[in-house]
Amino acid sequence: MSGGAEADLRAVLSTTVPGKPPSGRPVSLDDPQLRAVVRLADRYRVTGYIQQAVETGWLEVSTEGAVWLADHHVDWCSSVLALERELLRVAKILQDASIEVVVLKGSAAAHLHHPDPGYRLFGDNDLLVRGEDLERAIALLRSAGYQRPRQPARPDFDRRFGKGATLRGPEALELDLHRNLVFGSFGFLIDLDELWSRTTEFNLGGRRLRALDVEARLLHGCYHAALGDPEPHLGSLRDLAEQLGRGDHDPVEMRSLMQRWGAASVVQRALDLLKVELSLDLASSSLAEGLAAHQPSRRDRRAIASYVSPRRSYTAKILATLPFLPRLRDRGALLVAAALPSKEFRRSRRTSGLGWWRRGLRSLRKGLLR
Amino acid sequence: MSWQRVPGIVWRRSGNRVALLTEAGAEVIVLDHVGAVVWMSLSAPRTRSELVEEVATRFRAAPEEVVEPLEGLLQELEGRGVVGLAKGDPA
Repeated sequence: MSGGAEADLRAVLSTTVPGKPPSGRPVSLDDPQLRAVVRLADRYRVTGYIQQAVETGWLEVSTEGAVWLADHHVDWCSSVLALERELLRVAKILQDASIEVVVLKGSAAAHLHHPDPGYRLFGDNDLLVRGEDLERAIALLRSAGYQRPRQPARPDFDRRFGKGATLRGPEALELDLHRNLVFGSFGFLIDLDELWSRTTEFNLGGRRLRALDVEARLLHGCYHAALGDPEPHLGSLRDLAEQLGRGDHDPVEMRSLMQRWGAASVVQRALDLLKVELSLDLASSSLAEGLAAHQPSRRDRRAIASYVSPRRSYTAKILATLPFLPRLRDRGALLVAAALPSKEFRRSRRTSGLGWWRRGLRSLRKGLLR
Repeated sequence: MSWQRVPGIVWRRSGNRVALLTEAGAEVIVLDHVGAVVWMSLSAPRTRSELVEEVATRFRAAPEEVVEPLEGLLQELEGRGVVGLAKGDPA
């Protein structure tokens, strides 16, 4: 190296993937190069993999560089530990009120996917709760110091259509309470009862916490990598690569789950992104083989565009969701919620009723609906 | 007499250090070298002599050289609510 910070970071991320054959001799970075790569890695919260590359000898840095990196990594670990301690507190509050919780991403990914949890950093907590418990969970957490900066479109929106709620807690720690793995379209194809039956456990601070089982976690990783951000997020992709590299999922069960939840187009996009962004060609993997003949439908293409297109918008997401709702009554209710959101919702988005409509019309003109 | 980790602590290893946060601690505690080795050894309760052996082996020292500093370290960690004596063990 160095092919520039961006190329160096991508090389670190793909080389540290488990099961990947070692790519020749170790490479080295001088101190300015190391700092540039770490600055970029911080943006994606993937700095732990640089530490991993140094610890495993794939990446050579100066003694001073190694000390600086280790200190920086410890700082990152400190913020992760604050989040994990808060996760234990929040989980206890909810479980004491008989609200079931499942840890998603962050802490669960660190402890279940990685040879050393310190390599997987994160910036917030994510918990799955049942839709019928969501309102009560938010109320309980409000009394424990949390606030909800953005209000739902309508009072029953969270329970019927929402992905969940983002809360801000003590010391600005963020908590995403999910009722589903993904907002809109593909989220309506997920069997939420089955989701709750697909769990395992991990140990955190001497307590057992629930997480999704390996196949559901892998599919969640695909949703996140494929739909989570308009620009491919290196952190989400690296997470997915770690899961695929471990190869501990049952390929037959994984393909079956993907088909049942209508997620083939999402998984296909996630694998394509891995190839383009991290040069990880998984064409020979059993998961990719199952997708060889898959052609995304027009409905799926529009839905994916509503998440990742540069012209994406809330209106476009809602309209792309309609074909995923089998019942006319639900389609009508979703349209009403989108067209006539509550005052609290508009206030939390700093817009008036008229402003909201103007925004929606602008989205329509952008042509996302074609 | 067996030593063990205090429950409720979250922690991470980073190189040869361990960062940990107790349930009520205001700050993250970072253990270097011997402290990190002791913490990692306590994935299950260990007697003092087992810890002495572990640390002595790791740092290529004679066990008698390790006894006193290890005792001091365990007292320090106990005082900070990080380790404690396993239940049923006499103090």
